[in-house]
Amino acid sequence: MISSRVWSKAWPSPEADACLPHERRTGADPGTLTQQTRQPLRVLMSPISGMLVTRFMRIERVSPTGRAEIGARRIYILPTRYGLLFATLLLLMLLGSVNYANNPAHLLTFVLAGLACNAIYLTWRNLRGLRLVCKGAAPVFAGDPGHFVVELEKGERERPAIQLMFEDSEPVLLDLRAGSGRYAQRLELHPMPRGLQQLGRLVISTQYPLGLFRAWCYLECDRPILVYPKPGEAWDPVGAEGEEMLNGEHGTGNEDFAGLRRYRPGDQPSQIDWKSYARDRGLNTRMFSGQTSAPLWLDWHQAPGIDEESRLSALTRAVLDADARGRPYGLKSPTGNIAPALGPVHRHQCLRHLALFGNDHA
Amino acid sequence: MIMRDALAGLPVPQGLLTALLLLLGALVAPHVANLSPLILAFFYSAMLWRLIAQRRPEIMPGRWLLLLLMIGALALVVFTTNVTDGRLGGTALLTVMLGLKLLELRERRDIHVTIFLGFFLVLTQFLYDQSMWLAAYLFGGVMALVSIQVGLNRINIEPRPQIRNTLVMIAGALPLALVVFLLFPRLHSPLWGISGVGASTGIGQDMTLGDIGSLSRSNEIAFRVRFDDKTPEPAQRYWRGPVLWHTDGTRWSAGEASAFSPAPDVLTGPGIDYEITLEPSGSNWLFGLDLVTKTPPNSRLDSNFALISNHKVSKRQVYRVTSDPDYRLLDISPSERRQALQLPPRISPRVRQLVTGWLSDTDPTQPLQLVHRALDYYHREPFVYTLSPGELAGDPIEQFLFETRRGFCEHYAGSFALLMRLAGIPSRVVVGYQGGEQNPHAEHWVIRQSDAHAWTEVWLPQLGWWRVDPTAAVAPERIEQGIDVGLSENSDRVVFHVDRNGLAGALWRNAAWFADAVDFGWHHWVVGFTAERQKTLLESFGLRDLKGIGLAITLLIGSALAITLVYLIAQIPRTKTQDPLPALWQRLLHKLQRAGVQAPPWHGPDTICTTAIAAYPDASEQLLAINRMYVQMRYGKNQDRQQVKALRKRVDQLRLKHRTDA
Repeated sequence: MISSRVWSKAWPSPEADACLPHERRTGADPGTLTQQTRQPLRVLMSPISGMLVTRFMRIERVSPTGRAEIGARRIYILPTRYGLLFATLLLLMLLGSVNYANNPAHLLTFVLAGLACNAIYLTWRNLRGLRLVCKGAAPVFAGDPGHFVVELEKGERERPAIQLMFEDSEPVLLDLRAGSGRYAQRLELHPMPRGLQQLGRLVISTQYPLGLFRAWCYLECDRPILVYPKPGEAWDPVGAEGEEMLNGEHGTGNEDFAGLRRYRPGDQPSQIDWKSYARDRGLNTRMFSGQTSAPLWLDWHQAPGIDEESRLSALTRAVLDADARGRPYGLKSPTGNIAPALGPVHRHQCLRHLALFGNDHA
Repeated sequence: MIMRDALAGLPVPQGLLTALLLLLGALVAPHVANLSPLILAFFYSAMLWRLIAQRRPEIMPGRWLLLLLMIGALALVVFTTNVTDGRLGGTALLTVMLGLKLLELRERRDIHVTIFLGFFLVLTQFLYDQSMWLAAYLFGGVMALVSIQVGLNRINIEPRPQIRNTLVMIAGALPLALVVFLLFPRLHSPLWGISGVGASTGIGQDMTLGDIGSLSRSNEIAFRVRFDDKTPEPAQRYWRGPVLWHTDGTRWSAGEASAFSPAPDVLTGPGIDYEITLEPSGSNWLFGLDLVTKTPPNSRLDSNFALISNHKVSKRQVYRVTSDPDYRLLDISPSERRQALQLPPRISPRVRQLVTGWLSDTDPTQPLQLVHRALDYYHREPFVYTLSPGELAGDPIEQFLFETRRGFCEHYAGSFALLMRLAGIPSRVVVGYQGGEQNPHAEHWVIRQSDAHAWTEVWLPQLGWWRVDPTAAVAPERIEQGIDVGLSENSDRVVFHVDRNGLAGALWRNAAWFADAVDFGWHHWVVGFTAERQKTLLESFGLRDLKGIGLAITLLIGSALAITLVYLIAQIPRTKTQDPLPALWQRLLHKLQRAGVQAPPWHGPDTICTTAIAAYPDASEQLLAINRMYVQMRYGKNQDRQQVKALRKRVDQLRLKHRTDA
């Protein structure tokens, strides 16, 4: 069914990428699965469960753009413990009705049984045809909780008590009202180690209306989260101060306003002169004198730290600091260099490089 | 895989909990008639305690206190209730346990369990009372319970759509419930012992003067009858009960049991088929029209042709009988003749004298003449048919015949039988019901306790046992119309049913009859749906002799059909509800036009808004808000019911007034 793991390489639109850089698995890489999983049991089970999954398990997958619709045949349904308790109750009620040959009691028992049968259908229907868009999660730093964004499409019928969770994250509940448009829901993820982390399957479930049955569906989101290394202690890269002194500027030289120029795509939003935009003078970018300073090289070999991870942390901190100062910076690492530049895309590139350090993805 | 349930961790909605507590209180209430007051007091105290704890959570009992309370509750059940009666003991236990559960109600899980206990509580109500009114009340309660359960399983609680959804859900459950109800096998005997119900209303074993008179004051229903095709004449509607042979002057009783079984001589045709729904009476008497020719199962005819059930009628019972009104009972055994001529030890000379006078007047070979003579006496003398005959002192028969002359049917039947015996004509008293009233909204007849009656049977050589109703000689209307209890109560004479004038009276009577028709339907189709009725129903569908696996397969197929039906109905695409936004916009335009603002159809919302503000600057804020909301919903990304509601409110509240220049 899904044995041929062909992943779409279609990227979202460039500006979406700039704002919320999604990471997608970029190729059929057999090593990734085991490398990214953290539970040893699952590593052991993966060949078997993988086979089972491909053979029997019904999993909904998202389209390359992240859309999915829960198909009628992809929904599992089983009684909850309340359902089992209710079945016991019905059995007792039936015994009482039969023993006392009491027809109103029979009728009550059968109406409740009919209600339970009806609940199977209604619970299933509460999920069936639900359309949603997996927006993915913005990159986070290791140790910080990530947030996965799912947008659920409202329909003609309300869908109360929909529960969303990744197999190892906290579940969230929402009542999806009737209407049009989408409802965006954030799912908080556990803090994760650096790297491109697979999130596993999204489990969408519901127990509405009676709580007697639980219908659920697995959704293979295929939207891994990029976890940057945890930023370490602040340190001064070689040349950081020197370069700035050379320019004869103060430490906060980049605060000096140097003038405006027309907006060019790629300029940072924080440097756009919004006040002039509000006065209908078009988009302009504020120029600072500090930006003319010479590029700063952040070198792997100069970064403090005894092991790989602490060096990566230190470099992450340095990237963040340099970015905050608005000074062009480049990255030198054993796996490759990134030429000095500035801006969110560059920042993301550098951090991504650090996040994937030691991986084939880098 | 462990499935976490986020709902379980959410706090309990307090409004829902309060509603549940009050609802359970209402569901326990009908047990007032059944349970010991102490048990009920325990439950309601617990409920009240929990209700107060809604405001002040610190008074919730701790674990040790709960344990103590539980021991106390068990002791209460043991000491107040006869626990050997499984039904009563079980109900009492369930009620106190429900009370205890309320006191430890904290999480959603507890509410689930409490709702389930509530369902069971409803079931226990039916074990005591199966009336339609209670059933309707409890059905409402079940609906409310389900609706609370639905509320428990969602996050935002909206009562109105929730109740509507619950109704739809229950409607969807009904087809399956009905199919299973009709096809589920019914047992003839219970799984374990049931102790009898001590209800006793209606006709007893014997007749003492005044018995039936007091019964006749009751408007309670004795039984209902549905005739298959033929309805007998009023004069034939004598519902036979116990036959009394022995008298001591004031009291009539059954006397010795007779081993003699006479064969009736039925004259004509197929007879009258009918079905009786008998109210619980606590006795074994079933009633049938004179003369029963085909008995229902589990019953027999005694030597007097009275229909007797093998079990006490402790709950409503439905049975089918065939009767033939044209019959002769010619046989009489010597012992019966002896019994039918038995006289009380003391008979007043005045009574003897009366009979001797008649004997000398009539032809001894024509005993019928004497019967007519006696009836004539009742007719000619100023006898009064009344519910309040007054006290009879001394020899009651003499007093009644010569002095008070006020009596009810038992006085007439008793004295007449005695007179016949004195004249040497074998006679006996029959107790039962006479008459009945047809429900104008349904096919069935209702026989009330006020229709209880006593009449006489005399044995005449060529005619055999011959029914003579001396009451008819005094008050022939009794046989045709029946007694109006309400009016007879305070009246000197018995008042008979006549069509009362006045719209209110007619409406009231009509409503009462309609309620009776619904009630009868409930009893006919639900309460009295026995194994026999089930068999007849299945046979009418061509399913004969269904048992065991056959019935199980029919049940499965029927259920599958019912489920498919509901599923198909649910799949029918609903006609798209009209988009509420254009309708709202039209409403606004209408309002503006009435206020004189030109809004041609080619103007967009912004233009119209600007025009309107120019005309009514005071309303600019409201108009801008409406415009903003409309545009956002119409052209924006999101729109939900709440927003539409808010916009509707704004449009409705919009007031356009011209500025009055000061």
